[in-house]
Amino acid sequence: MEQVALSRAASEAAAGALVDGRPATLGAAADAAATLLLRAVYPLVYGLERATVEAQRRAVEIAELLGAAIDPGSSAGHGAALLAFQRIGQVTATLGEVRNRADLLVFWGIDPDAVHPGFLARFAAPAPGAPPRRTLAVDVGAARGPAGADERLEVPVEREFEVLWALRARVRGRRIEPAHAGAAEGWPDARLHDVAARLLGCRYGVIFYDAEPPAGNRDPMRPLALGALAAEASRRTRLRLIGVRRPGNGAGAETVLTWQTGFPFAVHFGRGYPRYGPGEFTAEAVLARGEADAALLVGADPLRELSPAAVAFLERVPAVVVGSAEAWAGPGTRVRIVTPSFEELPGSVYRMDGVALRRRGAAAAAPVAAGVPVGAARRGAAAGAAEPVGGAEPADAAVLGALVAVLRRRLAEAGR
Amino acid sequence: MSGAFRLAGGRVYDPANGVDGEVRDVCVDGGRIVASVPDGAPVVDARGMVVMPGGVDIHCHIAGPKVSLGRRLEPERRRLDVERRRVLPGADGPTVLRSGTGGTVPSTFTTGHRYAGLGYTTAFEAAVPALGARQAHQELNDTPVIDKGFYLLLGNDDFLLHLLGSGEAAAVGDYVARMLSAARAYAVKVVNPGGVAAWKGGTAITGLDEPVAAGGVTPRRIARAIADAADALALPHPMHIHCNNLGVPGNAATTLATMRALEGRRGHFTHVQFHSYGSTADERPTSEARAIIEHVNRHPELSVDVGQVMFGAATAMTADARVAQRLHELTGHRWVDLDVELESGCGIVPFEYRERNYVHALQWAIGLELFLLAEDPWRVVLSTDHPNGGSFLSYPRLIRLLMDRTFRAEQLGRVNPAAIAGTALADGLAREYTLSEIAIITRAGPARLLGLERKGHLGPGADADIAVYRPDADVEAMFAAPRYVFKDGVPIVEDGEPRREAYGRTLHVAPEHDGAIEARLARFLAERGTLAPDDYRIDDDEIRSGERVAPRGT
Repeated sequence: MEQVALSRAASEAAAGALVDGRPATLGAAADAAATLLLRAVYPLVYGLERATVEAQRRAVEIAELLGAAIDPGSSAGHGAALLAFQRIGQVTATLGEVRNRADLLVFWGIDPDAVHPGFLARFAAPAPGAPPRRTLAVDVGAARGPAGADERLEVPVEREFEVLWALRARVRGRRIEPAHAGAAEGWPDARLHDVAARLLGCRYGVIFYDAEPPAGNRDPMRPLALGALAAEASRRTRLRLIGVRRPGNGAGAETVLTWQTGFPFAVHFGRGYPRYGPGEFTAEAVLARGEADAALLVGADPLRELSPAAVAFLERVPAVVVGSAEAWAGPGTRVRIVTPSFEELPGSVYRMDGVALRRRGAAAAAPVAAGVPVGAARRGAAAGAAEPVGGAEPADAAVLGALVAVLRRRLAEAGR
Repeated sequence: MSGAFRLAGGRVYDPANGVDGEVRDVCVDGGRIVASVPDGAPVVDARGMVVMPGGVDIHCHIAGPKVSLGRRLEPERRRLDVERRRVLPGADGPTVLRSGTGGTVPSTFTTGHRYAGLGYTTAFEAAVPALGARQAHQELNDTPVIDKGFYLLLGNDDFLLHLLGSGEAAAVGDYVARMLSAARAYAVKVVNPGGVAAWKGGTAITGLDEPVAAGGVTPRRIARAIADAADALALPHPMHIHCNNLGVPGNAATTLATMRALEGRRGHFTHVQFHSYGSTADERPTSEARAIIEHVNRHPELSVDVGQVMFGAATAMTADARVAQRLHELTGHRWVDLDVELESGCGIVPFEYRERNYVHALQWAIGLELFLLAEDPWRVVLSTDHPNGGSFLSYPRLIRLLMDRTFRAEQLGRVNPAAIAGTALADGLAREYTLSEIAIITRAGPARLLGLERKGHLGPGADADIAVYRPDADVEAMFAAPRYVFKDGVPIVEDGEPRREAYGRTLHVAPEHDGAIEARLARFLAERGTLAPDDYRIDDDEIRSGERVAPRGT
């Protein structure tokens, strides 16, 4: 039995480990995980949205070691926004600008409070000296803005793109002939003109939209159309687009992947360097094609993001699952390493607007979701919390660190 | 930490210690240059080679939120420019080079490896907002080989503008100290003082004395207050300033006015090429490089880095968001514009400089004028404002342009002639930089300006960061592929091939400050922000290997 030297942090990190259903030490679990993953021809590293930045860094290294595909779970919902960014860029702001500058808030098919309770009170409450503001809720089918908005508009679901594109043309000062517009119900040119005028008439407008929509509401063109509208209006005023994301650290995973590989998702290391394949190397594509023959799930929530077909395939794939006790683990799971839940892990997380935060200490009684400021959570916890554990890695990173060590050693022994 | 060895018989260029091409040995032990090593110590044969301290990049964009947005924006530029994972055998065991991708904004591992591949061993990210400090450190942690750090953006932050507007100049020093310490930054960076804040509020300011915030706060007052703070705190590097009106025809007047506004205070004026334009009656740019460099020549308290434009691919990425917006409107290229709450902004636009384009050729010529008319190489640093003016990989070509007037003339013949006509290049500037001067503008000078006592020279006590080049009539080839690169005395690169992976130190300052500012900041953030002061504080354990640099004079 190979011995694995583990850091004390790693030894303490895992709340428990199972190999083929039987309790095991972390060292034995890391060994078994390495064996399983190294044997594979097409391993997949997946999840990461419920992992710390420290763990995400390790996960990218593991994918490189294995020559694996790696894809954050959040890319299923957020991928369209990432692709839109690469096509046209983005005109946006960090959340605090809303408090200080916004005189127009547009909620495009999203009520942020429904995703993050208390979001509007925290991030949209006008700061002293902020200008008076109006709020406009645009309800797109069943995707509705906040109930208390000053005004509401309705957009038919099947005409969302046309309305956005026509609005953009209107903002540019062009008219679209009704015959060409495929006129959306309730959206005659006069209304397009009015809304465009509202957008251009603000001094600092913010459009919130659902940047990680659930399956069933993932229009691949929506982020592009919204982004183009914001950019168009920004030639004459300031109109920012801010995507509301799910709780979790999907933003962290994409940022870590970007700085380490150059690409935010759907990366494959099979040739020894990062290749980008948004259509080919997403977890959904890899699983739906039945290609993966091993999986490492880290802070993953497959049921939330993957199609039933992809989940069905994933269930049969030999897998290593690193996550909380509640984390999904399919029948193919051979190695299971249990860590504290994401909300309890100290470590770095990225807020939905890209701001890197750190949760310090044996953390929070209060759950910390992306978008809820860490300061608030920690102030609540500080009253009874233990001294901050400076220097200790979060448990999920420590576990992956143990796996990295085993993989490096095995590959070195094999001359790779 | 290295063992002892002797780098023998090379032609050493160590201008900080008065060594100009002398054939002599350089001795290394324990990662530092030492006066001598025992006779039996290993010898590295450098006969016939040129030996210099490792390069120091005083201004580049390699880490932080805007840099990674720039990485993410252009997948097509990096797809085919790849670096494979490599395992390097070594006497002390194997080390691993992580893979990556390049283009104009390489991924982090590739950035470190490519700087090392040129013989550069220190580089500073030039602009990070306080809100982005954590990400900058995380990215620097994953940037191998080089010693590194970043400059913290101040001068458009609401809290500072409020302090100035309410007449609390005395608190500015404490605030600057607190922010530098909390962010673990190296120096203060001012971009378009007051202008970014005004732009976010919908106003474009054009002059130093236009009010940008309540209480009569002007760009002039901001620049002076920060320059004062940098001096009062005895920071190793003075205020590093990107003037108002970057890129605007006629902006040389603004640049000169800003230099004069300092009234003798130290200041480093960055990428000054972009700030050296005159204007025709119909607002086409012309060169005012001579006026700018002559002022710099006469004012020893001022230093500049040139911000040379190099033809080919570039990426505009700047906290001066208005500039990026103009580029987007001019070119129609993809555009990222991010407002950073309470402090700053950034803009990113993919770009390309073309020889036949009048403006680009003029910019190229202005940069060369600045270099060739400079009298004191210690205060005129080589830079391209990577990646704004071009990639750092173009530094060897730029060195050739400066050293080889025949090559320069050939290149002159390829660019838009109308652009050259109004510049000193048309008069046939014949100056050729010497190897010693190159050593100054790429190593000794920036190290001195940054207050890095162990960098940029090869005297005893210096870090053993050494670049060894094989002389070549084509100096671009010479500087593009060092024979050896040592970092802390460890051979990292040999004949263009990596030999070992290592990680350098993140250099930062931690000036003392009055704790009272913390409470004020807390109140301010509670009222206006979304985070607490603690969220803006970086802990030591968030940095892979940090080194605190003491105030000047200690």
